[in-house]
Amino acid sequence: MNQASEAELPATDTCMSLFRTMVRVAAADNAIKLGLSAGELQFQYYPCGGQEAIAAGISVAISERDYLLTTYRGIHDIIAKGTPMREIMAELYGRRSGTSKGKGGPMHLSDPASGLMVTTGIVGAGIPIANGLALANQLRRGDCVTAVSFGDGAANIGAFHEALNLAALWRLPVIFICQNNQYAEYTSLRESTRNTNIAARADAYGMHGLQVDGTDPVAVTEALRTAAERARAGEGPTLLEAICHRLQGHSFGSEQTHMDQDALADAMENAPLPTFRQRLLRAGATEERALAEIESEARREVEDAMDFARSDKHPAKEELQVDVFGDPALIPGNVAKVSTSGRRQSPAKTEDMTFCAAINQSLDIALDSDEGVFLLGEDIQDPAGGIVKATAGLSTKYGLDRVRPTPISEQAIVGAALGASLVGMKPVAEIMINDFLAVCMDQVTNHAAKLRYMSGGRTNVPMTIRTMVAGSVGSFGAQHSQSLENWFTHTPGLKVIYPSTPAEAKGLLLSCIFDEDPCIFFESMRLYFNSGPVPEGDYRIPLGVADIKRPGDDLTILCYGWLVPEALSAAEALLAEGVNAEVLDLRSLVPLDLEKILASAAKTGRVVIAHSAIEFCGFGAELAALIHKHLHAQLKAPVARVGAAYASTPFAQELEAHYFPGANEIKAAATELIADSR
Amino acid sequence: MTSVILRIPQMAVSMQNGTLLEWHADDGADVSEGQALYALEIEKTVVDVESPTSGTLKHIGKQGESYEVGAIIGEITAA
Repeated sequence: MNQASEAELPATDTCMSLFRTMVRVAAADNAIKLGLSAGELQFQYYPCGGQEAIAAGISVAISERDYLLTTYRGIHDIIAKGTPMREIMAELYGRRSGTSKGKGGPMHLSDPASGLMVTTGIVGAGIPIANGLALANQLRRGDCVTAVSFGDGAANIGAFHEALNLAALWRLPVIFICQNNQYAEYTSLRESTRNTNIAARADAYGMHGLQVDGTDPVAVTEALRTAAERARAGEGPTLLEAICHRLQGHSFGSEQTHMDQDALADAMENAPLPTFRQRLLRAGATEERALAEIESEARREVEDAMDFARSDKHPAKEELQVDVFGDPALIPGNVAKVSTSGRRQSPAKTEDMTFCAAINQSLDIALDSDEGVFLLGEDIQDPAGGIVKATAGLSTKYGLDRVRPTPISEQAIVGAALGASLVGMKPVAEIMINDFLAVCMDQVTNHAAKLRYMSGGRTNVPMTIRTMVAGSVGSFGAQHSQSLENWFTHTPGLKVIYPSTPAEAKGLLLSCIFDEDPCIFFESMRLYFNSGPVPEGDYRIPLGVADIKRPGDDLTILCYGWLVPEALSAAEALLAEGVNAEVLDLRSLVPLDLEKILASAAKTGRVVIAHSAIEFCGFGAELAALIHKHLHAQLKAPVARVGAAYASTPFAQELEAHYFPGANEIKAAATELIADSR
Repeated sequence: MTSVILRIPQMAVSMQNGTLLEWHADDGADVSEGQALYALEIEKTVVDVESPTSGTLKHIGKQGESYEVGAIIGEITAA
């Protein structure tokens, strides 16, 4: 690697640009550390010392309109990409002029105006998202490159493997920049893997890979330029391993005894910035005076930014729940009227079709009406057309670019959808069965759900995840039968939709696809082949509007999904006993139509909540608490709940029949409630 | 004339307080940015905290005393 540093210097302008970026990075890094030393700043800081040359390469080789994603040790990348210094510092101080209005903090800066799309605090998680940005560019036939930085530690996490495989398969214009600083937190690369040549992993995916001296800004620039040219020419992704050495411990103030002291001393001796400075002078590329001028200019810029940040205001209390969703009125638990302005008039004409056919028609209409819509998921292409044929015919009609089969890689699927949605595409990802969402929870709950908030509203994630619930269809057992909606209702930022009829499957799915926030759309396999009238055309039902499926005065049954027909059967049976039950189908759990729930509960004074999810800690617990909070004195009896047993779903159908509630259990709960409150 | 307040820094995730073990520079001494200012003991390890600026140091915290994160222990006034 010493040889590389003897390579010819590029044009003086380029040299000065590289030097300027390194100096600006070092000035900011130093100012932050001093602020932490003085106790003025208080957060966990992950210094970038030793990685400045990689940032320099990014600032020169990656253009303004290209995208960059980085990680929590990423201040150098962020500065290199062009995020304004004042906004960076204001964010570190938690102030309202920060990149994220003080809501994201040092680990979550983003600035789409300069192409900085995501900074993640989760190791390796940006890599699948980079694929999505690159895919959006590929689908739009643009010539942007997406670069994603991560550390050597990220090379051993599953997201890396899934994403590189998919990027190579789809020949995506991505540069995977592994900033190998030799340590994953407190553990060295040698302690983390048998094969420490990370670039060599590219071969395994059929991708171009190379190592470069990450302490030499000239070498990094050349490697990045070549990778960017390959990407723009449609030659696919590159894995670039930039080898450097961390010049300090994991975080500010942390011990360094876990580091090889000789290697650290050597790295300090050959630190990228002073080494490059000397090289410029030795080669006669510039004069001392010019370099000193750049250095004092950088110090002034950083001081100005720190002063700006100190004098900026703290975020106002009113900001707390802003940027959870695009519309702040949608916070669940508040009684707020859901805007129905986007509602399409329901056409008079309807056609009878199955729930499955309604899903298919909804996707067809979305694909037909908007070029930004595309589908991705396992087995969704013809001739399979999805495991229950929900996407049958669509890849034939719209092509494999827009109806994209994927490997079995849930993190890569959600990451790709998420990334594409960040630049305005409207992806519909299929995660076959909702139990499999466990495999990609990080992408869903730490990223899709949080990016709007963490970016202070600078980015949003208009993606939809369709997923099946396969409970009570027989013999799927513990890992294919759960109803996991409350995992998602408990994560702010996700809309959770759970239809029960073919018409609603169509109308709600179309609303999800064209919504500005991430939606999880639960499809009950039990309902898939039920038929019903479905309005023609681009029919949409606003999210967050519950529906009275059967009016009644004596009791309210609150339900959703495949327990809605069970509740309707229970209501019929109750009528024979002189009880007139109202069946209220929530249809959407977040946003939640609390107004309609409370109106029904106030009218009847008795509520049974029924869902196919496990009763303990299920969504019904939240509903019951909300109803009691608002209506306690008006209720004739405590709210009753009916849900699945606290056990994994059993295989034997005789047991499964006891596990899930149905019409009989709902009716029994209702009868008991009536008896208690006569 | 500007001054920088010295507070006990947050040096580790778990850190609640730290002991100002020893001032490396005397009260009233001139110090420069980056020099080791004082030894801070946190959970049985000792780290040197660097000076965030250059100027004249004023001791506020006492050697051997334990302070909460954020507590003021000194001030540096630029000449």
